[in-house]
Amino acid sequence: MMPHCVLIIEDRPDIAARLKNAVAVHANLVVGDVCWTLDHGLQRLFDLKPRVVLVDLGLPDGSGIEAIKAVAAADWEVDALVISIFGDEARVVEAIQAGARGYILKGGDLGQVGDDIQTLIDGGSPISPAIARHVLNLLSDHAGIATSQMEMLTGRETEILRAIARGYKRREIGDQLGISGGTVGNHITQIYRKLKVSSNTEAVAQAAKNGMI
Amino acid sequence: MGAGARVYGGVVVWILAMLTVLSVVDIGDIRPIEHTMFFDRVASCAQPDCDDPVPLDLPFSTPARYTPGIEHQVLQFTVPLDEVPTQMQAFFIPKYNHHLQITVNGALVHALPHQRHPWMAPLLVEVSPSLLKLGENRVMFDLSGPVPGQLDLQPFHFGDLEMLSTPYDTRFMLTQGLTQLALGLMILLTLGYFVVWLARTKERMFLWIALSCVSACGFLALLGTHVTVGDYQISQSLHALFVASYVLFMLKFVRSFLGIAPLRSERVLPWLICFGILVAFLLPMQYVYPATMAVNLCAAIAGLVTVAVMWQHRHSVPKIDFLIFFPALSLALALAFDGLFLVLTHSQARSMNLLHLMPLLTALVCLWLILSQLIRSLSAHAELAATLHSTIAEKSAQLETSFNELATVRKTQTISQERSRILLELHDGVGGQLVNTLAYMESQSIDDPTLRTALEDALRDLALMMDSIESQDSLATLLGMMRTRLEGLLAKHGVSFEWQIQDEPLWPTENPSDNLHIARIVQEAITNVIKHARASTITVYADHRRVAVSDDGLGFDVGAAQSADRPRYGLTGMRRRASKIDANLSIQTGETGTTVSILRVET
Repeated sequence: MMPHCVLIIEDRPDIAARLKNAVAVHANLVVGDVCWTLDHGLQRLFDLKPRVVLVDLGLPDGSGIEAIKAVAAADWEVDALVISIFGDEARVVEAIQAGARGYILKGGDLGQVGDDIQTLIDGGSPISPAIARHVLNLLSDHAGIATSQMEMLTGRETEILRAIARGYKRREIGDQLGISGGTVGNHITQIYRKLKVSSNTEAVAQAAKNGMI
Repeated sequence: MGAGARVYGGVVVWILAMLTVLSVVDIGDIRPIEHTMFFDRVASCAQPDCDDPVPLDLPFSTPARYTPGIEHQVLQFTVPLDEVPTQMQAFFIPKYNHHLQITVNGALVHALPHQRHPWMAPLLVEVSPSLLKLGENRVMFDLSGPVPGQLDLQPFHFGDLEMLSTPYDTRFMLTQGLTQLALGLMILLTLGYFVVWLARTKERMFLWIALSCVSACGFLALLGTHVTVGDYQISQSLHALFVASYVLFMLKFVRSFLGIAPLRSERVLPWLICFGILVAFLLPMQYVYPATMAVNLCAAIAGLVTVAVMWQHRHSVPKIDFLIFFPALSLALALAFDGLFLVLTHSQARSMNLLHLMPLLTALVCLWLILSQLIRSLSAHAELAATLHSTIAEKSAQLETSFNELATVRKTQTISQERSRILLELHDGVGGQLVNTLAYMESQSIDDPTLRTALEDALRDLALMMDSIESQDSLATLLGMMRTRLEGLLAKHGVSFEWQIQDEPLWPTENPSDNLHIARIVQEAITNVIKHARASTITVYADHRRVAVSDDGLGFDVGAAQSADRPRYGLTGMRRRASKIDANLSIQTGETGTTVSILRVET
C-alpha cells in the first residue's frame, strides 16, 4: 500500500522540523513538502494533491483558513488538520467552518501528530479536550444562537463531546457507552460536519471573532 | 343637493320645534300674584284730563311712527281699597316701553326719567300709604316714547311693597341682570380669546370667536345699559349690525373649529349685511325698519347654516361635545328667531324678551368646546410625554446594556490579546530555547540523560502552563489536557492512567487561578508517582467537591517527606496551594499505594 502524502504548511522552522520528523517516522505516511508561506502552500497543494494537509493558521502572507478552504474545495480526497499555538474559540470555530477536520495545539506533544493523521485518514477527527470544551462552550454559553446549536447535536454527540473535554480517550468513551472507539470517532466527525454546514456556526464564528463570546 | 336640502329642511323643522317649546314654556309669563292686585284692563284717555276714557286690554302696544316728536299715551284706572294700608305699597310693572310717569290721586309717584329706560328692565314704583284713601284711588299712567313710538304695556301689579319686591327682583335678574352678566362675561371672553389668538395666530377660530364676542358686547350693551347711541336710526342699525356680525362670526368659528373650508354663504352674507346697514343709515327713517329686517334675515340664514354645518360634521367632534354643543347652538338660534319674530310682528305674545340669553348660551358652550379640546390635547400631551418617557427609559436601558456589552467585549478582547501574546511569548521564547537546546544536544551528540530529562520536563511544564492559560475556566478540561501532555511520559515509565473525572469540580470562589492551584497539585502528585512510587496505574478522580490522585505503588513516609531538612515530593508546596484556595489536602499512604485528596471545605 502506498504511503499517504502529507503537505506541511508551517512558517516556524523548529515546529516544521518536529512535524516533519513525527510524520516521517510513521510507516504509513510520507512528507510531500514543507511550505513556509500560504502562497507556496496553495501552489504545492495542487501540485502534490496530498491526502492530508497540516496547516498553521498564522502564516506570514495570510491566514491558514484560506488553505483549509482550498482543501475543502479540492476535487480529490484530502483533509486539513490545523496546528496552532492558539486554541481559542474564535479560531476553532473559524477553522471548523472553513472545513478543518482536526485541530492540534503546538504546545502539545507533536510526536503524536503521526497517529492523529492516521486517525484522520481512518475517518476520525482528532480533537483535544480544550477544543471539545470550546465547542461545548459555544453550544451552551450563548443564549439565542446556542439553543439552536444545542438542538443541532444529538444527546449522544453532546455526551461524547463532554467526555472528551474531561480528558477521556475514545476507547474509554466507547467502553462507557457500550460502543466501539471507531464509532465514537465517527460521532466526532459528525459533530465537525454539523458545525461546518450549520449556518448558525457562521453566526457563532462571527460573534466569536467580534469578541462577543 | 337633495341631501343638503334635507339637512336644511330638518334644521328648520328642528328650530321651529324649539321655538314651539319656547312659546309653550313662555319664560317670564305675567300672572297674578297672590295677595296683590292684578291689572290687565285699563282705560285709555285721549286728553290729559281724561274726560272720555276708552277701555283698553293689556298687553297693549302702538304701531311704529316715524314723525318727529314724542308720542304720548295716557292711561287711567282706579285702585279700589277697602281699608287704607299701613305698609308701603308699590306698582310692579313687568314690561313697558319706553317712559312711564305715574300719578296716584293727583300726586306724582314716578316721574319721566332723564335718560332712556333700559327697555328690558321691569319697574317697581313705591307708593306711600299716605297718598292712598279708602275707596277708589285714581291712577294715571303717562306712557311716552320717541321715534318710533311702539309704546308697550304689559299687565301689572299693585300691592304691598314686600309682596312685590321678590317677583320684581327675580324678573330684574332674568332680564337686566342676565344681560349685564352676559356683557361682563363677553368682555372677559373677548380679552381672553384675543390673547389666545395672539399667541396662536394660525388658529383662526380664536379670532372668530373673539370677534363674535365683540359683536355680542355691542348688542348686549345696547340691550342692557341706559346709554343711548345717537337717534333711533343709528342705534337700530348698530343693533342689527351687531347681531348679524355676531351670528356670522359664530358661523366662522364653528366652521374653523370643525376644520372645513370657508363656505359660499360666508362670502355672500357679509356683503348683504353691509348693504342693508348702509341702506338703513342713508335712507329716510321709515326705511330703517325694512333694511334692518333684511339684515336680520341674513343673520337668520347664517344661523341656520351654522346649525346645519354642525349637524353635517357631527362625526368629526367627540360625541359628548356634539351632544352639548348642538342642542345649545340650536336653542341659541331659536332664541334669536324668537327675538326676530317679536320685532317682525310687533307682537306682544312674548312677555319677556329672551335675545340676551342667546350670546350667554353660546358663549358658555363655546367655552366648553374649547376647554374640552384643551383638556383632550392636554391628556394627549400627557400620554405622549409618558410614551416618550418610557421610550427614553427603554432606549437608555438598551444603550446602557450595549455600553456594558461593549465594555465586556473590550475587556474580553484585551484579555484575549494579552493571553495570545503570553502564549506566543512562551511558545516562541522559552519553548523555542528549550527545543533549540534539545536539537543542539542531538546534533552535537551530547548524551546527558539528566539534562535531557530536565529539558523535556521543562517543555512539558511549559505546555501545561500554556494549557492553563487557555483552559483555566474549566478544571476538568485542564486535567484532560494534562492527561494528553503526560500520557507519553507515563508510557515511558510503564504507567497508565485510570481516568475518573465525574463532574466538573466546583469551588467556593470562581477564581480561575484556583483551578491552576489544583491542577498544579495534581501535576505534582502525578510527578511524584512517576518518580518515586513504582506504580503501574495512576487513578485521577474528580467529582464536584473532591479531586484525588491515587496509585498502586509503594507509599512513603509522610513525616520524613515533610521534614524541613529533606524537602521531597513537593508536599510543602502542595499544602501551601491547598490552603490558598481553602481546600483540605489529605495524603493517605501505605504499602498498597498513596492517595492525595483535595477536598473542598464546605462553607
